[in-house]
Amino acid sequence: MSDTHLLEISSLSVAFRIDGENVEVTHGVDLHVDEGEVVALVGESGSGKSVTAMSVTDLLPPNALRSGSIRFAGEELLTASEERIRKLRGDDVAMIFQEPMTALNPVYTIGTHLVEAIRCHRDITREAALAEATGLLEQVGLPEPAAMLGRYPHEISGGQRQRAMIAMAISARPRLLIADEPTTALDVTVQAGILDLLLRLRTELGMAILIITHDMGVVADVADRVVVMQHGLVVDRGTTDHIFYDSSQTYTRDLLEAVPDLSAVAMTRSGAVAATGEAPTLEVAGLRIEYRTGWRRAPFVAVDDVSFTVGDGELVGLVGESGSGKSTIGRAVLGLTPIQAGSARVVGTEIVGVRRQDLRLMRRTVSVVFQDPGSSLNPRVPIGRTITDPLRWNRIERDERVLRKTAEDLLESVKIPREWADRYPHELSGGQRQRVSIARAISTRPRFMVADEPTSALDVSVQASVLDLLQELQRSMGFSCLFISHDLAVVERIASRVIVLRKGEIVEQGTASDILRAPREPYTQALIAAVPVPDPRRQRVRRAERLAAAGRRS
Amino acid sequence: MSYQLYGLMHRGLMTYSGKGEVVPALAETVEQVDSLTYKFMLHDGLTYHDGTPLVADDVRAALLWYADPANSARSYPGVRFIKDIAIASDTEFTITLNSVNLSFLEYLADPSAFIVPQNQLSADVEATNGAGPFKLESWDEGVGLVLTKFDGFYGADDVTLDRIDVSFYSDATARVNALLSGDVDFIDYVPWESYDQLEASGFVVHGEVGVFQSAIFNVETGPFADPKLRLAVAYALNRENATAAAFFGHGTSLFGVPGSGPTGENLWEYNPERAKELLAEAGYANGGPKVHLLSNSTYVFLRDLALSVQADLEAVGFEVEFTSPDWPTFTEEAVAGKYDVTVQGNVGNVQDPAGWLPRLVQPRPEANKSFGYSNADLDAALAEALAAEDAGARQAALDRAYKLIGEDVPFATINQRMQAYAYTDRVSGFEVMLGFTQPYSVNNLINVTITG
Amino acid sequence: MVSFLIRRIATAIVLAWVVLTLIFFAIHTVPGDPAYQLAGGDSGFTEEGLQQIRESLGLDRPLGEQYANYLLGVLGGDLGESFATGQPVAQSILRRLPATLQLIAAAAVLAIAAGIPFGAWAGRRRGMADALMTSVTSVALAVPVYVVGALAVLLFSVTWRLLPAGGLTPFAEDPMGFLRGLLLPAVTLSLAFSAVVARMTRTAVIETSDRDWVRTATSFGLTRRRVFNRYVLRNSMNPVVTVVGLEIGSFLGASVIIERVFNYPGISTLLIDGVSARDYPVVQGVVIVIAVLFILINLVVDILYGILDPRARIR
Repeated sequence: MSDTHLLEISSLSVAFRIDGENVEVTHGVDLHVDEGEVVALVGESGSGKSVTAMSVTDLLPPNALRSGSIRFAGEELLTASEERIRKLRGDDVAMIFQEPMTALNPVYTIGTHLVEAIRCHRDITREAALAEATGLLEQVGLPEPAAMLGRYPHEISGGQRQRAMIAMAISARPRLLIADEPTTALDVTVQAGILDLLLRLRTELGMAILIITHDMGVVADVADRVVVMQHGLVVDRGTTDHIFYDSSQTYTRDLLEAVPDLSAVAMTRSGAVAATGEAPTLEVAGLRIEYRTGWRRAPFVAVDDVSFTVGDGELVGLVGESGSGKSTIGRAVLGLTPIQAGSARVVGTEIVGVRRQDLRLMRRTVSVVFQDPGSSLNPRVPIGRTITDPLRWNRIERDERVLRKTAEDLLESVKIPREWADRYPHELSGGQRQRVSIARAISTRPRFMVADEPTSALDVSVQASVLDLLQELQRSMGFSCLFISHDLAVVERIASRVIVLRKGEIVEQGTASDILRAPREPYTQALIAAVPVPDPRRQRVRRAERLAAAGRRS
Repeated sequence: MSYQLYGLMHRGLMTYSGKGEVVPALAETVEQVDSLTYKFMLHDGLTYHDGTPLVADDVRAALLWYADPANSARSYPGVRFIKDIAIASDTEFTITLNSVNLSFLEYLADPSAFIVPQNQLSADVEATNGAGPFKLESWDEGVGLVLTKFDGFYGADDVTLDRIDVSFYSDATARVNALLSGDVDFIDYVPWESYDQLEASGFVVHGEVGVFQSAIFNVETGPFADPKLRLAVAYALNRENATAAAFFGHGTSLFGVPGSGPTGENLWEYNPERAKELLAEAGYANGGPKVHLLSNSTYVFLRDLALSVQADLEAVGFEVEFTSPDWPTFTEEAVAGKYDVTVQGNVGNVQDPAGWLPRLVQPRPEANKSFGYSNADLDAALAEALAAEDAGARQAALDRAYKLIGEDVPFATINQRMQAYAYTDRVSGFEVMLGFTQPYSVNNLINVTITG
Repeated sequence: MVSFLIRRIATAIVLAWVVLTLIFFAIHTVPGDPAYQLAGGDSGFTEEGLQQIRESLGLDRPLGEQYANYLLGVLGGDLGESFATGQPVAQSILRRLPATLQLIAAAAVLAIAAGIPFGAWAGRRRGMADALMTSVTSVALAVPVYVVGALAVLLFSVTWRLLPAGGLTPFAEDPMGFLRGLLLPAVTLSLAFSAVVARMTRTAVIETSDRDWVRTATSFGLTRRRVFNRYVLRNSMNPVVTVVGLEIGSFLGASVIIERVFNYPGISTLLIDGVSARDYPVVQGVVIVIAVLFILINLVVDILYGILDPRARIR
């Protein structure tokens, strides 16, 4: 290790000029990255981690003001000329971003993007660039690289797009790669592949990586050192082991507490509630759901021959990656998506071929919580009113005074102050909004609730409390719940039974402990193995096991 | 192709001189043997533009074609009197009429009474091979045409222009702009509002009055069946106002039959009090009847005249309902008599009132004559004037006719409008013909020279 | 792609037929008998005379029969003959059509050539540049076409004598004269449209500049200019192309005034004169041609759209 850090950020403060005022979002950040290192910059939303990462090569919006110092290989970047920074970008410091779909220009092929990146800093012919591009695509593990060159971003999967982006980023053999939440938008198995790739490239190219993430599991998986940020300040730093095992910082400890850990064996599981003996709330048999893809073409089968039940008072987790059909099933049992074959009995009512009035009656006893509380709460209506809307819609209660009281009671039950009934959604945080959504869902005293990724959009610390709340309410009110999620760790925490879906079919189902401790199907096994756990030592073991298993398979 | 251009491309037996007098054209000499017989002698060596010779037989074929009512020829009213054409040689022939018509020769001067090869006589296709001073070089329909001097013209030595480029500008403002910007040297139908502007800009504006406008009536049904009410209108019209409104003052008021001399030109006057008296006599002492004034939206000057007429009628007690559909609908309604009063334009095709008045007063349906009007005495007087052998008898018959018109009011004339031409000061020698021949003034381009 | 084209062409044919039917019945039922426009002269308006004219034009037959005959004619390529001149309508239209097409094409090219750079400049610079563009385009949009035309003629033809006041010289005869004659009408016609294009471009540029792929391109190290041209402007063209197709329709409408003011020999004048004279075949023929023209232009726009944006490509 040399004396000069590859990247040294000192006292970096970033402010944004908004309406004539300077609003500082990060304050005096110090961090460094050395050659060949993987450093994780961790924080929740609003911590300033992305802003810090973007400020290295000045990719911030025009109204951003940076002060302090950013030195790359000893050179001060804050005072460097624009041309110098431009040369630096891509050649010395490359970046990959979170949303590969929007990070690529939809009208250019992968090949065009790559050639552009390659020829940006070097004067070579287009043919030579294309040859190089093919090689790069191979290097990042994309099949049929030559064909890939001619594809458009929307024609390939998310994981492939991210690999292509990585190819573009490493095309000039940068010394530092900054990866801003590179796998957050990807399925867990795909994520594992990308992380593998990044580590491999670090070794092959001698490239340092600064990875920005909120996922402690990822941190435990790949990082050498960790820097923790909160509210624009660095609150903790150290080697990965130190942070996970030895840190005395409150925030770090709280953060680690809140992260669900898949492999933690808890003998007494205070979480899940088993079913009562009553008639099942949801019975799905042979369910088949198709989508039309245009005339004279075979329809797309989203769900095929799915059968399962949710017992009375039970909380069942429906788990799958993107495209597994889990959300489709959730919508179907609510009567929101037509069912082509099979049956679904919800609280005794058969959904398939149901009559309008029966459906309406059924809806009084069923409620739903969605993923994004921002868009499921009407921004123009105070939360006190939104909360009791289901009572109004179903004509259960009309008296506004009664409704008002009910609203306040509901707020209290989800741990929000009663006086907030007149506030608007934008005045609440993400977690608080989701609590309001839950309150709304329980306002009708439902017998069955569908929760579709209710905590996926929340920060990890908030996620834990919302899950706890949900569990508590379910126990006390006794409703059954179908909990849909892609996150096994979350599901494992609160579900009594788990159903694993893949491409519209059930792969495996059973009790949560069975599925997670002794999965029978290879897919389930691979799925579990791919989830990084927030425990570096165990994760190293898991990583080795996973790669060995993959090596055996291939 | 408008009849104004016929005079450049074609020739008939007679034509109008620069001042509007009827003079021989293709005919070298004309001799009136007696009141019914005319002897003609053509120039030697006449040819059409393509070189084929023009012979007496062609003249006969053409005139007889015009005399056939099925062909709707403009010269028909005069040419129909032809009884016989006897050919003596290729250049000599005699025309015999079946009734006296002192204006006969003038009908032959009508630019549309031209002589063309027999295969060109058709109602559907434009005749392009003529015997006139200019030949058609090229023609872009609706856009323009090019005329070049025809050296085989009998009067070619006097023709001073080698080439005329004609462009059609249907929009009056565009026409004026074309002249102002120097795109063209000469324009016709100068809009009245532009006279002053063009003169101030150094162009020559040269116009004469000819075409006239009148108020005409539905005499079959409605209040104007009563001649007293028609007479009231003739007194109620403020001609000066009308001329100012429609022609920016460029016109002359009419109080009788235009071009008829002292006996016919002062039949009425502007006298609203007299008009009111007449209304009272007709039984409308306290406000006149409700009448429908039909106008049109296509020709602005007619509409402006109608508006002026509306004001005049209301001033003497009429209640006026004003409608103004576009020209085709207007025409249909006018012919069908769906109006009480309307304003229309008129022009005679010969100078002699005995020649052009009949169309305005005979019962045949027209768009620009009073609906249902029929007056046997008037018809008789006009026929007598037409057939008269000497000037004195003719005038006496005409005077009778004028008196009848003054009392029975088959039409109430308003004014004559000026039609002007404008050109750059590099153009000289252009004269405008007077009276009803004014539209043919374009013929005078053969006498025009241009410098620079 | 082939099935897309087939479907679009089939739709176009149906549309053209609908337009044909609508205009046929509309113009035939409007008051104003065309026979009156051809009668008169010195033979008067006798009922026999009028009836004769009607017979010769085929107007005495039942309306349904006239329609069927006309439709059959059109299918065979025969648009009938003008009542007024007797010339085949198809011929008259074909003679005037190139002029109209040239005018519209010139106006479209001018509008795009002026509007896109102006709008891109405003969207890129913001601030003063943006404010300037907004006010200039507001004026261009607010001033009616005939006012612009009249002013243009007044200045450039009458006062400064730089350009002709009207008419059109065929290109073959005199290329320079042709361009000079086309300039004022095309500029006048394009003025409002270029304002729309400029605004559309400006908004699209502003929106696209926020997109993630712009940041990615910058992170590669591309120059600002290259990022703007290839990652912002290029993507902004989609809404512009859409707008072009729609606005061309208004061109065809505004060209009536242009042709009047500049004495420009296009098909719009043919149409107006035809309506004024109740020359049914001319009116029908021109309207059908204009409708087909409009449909074709939009078809081209759709195909262009697919070229510009691979996501919109029809499989």
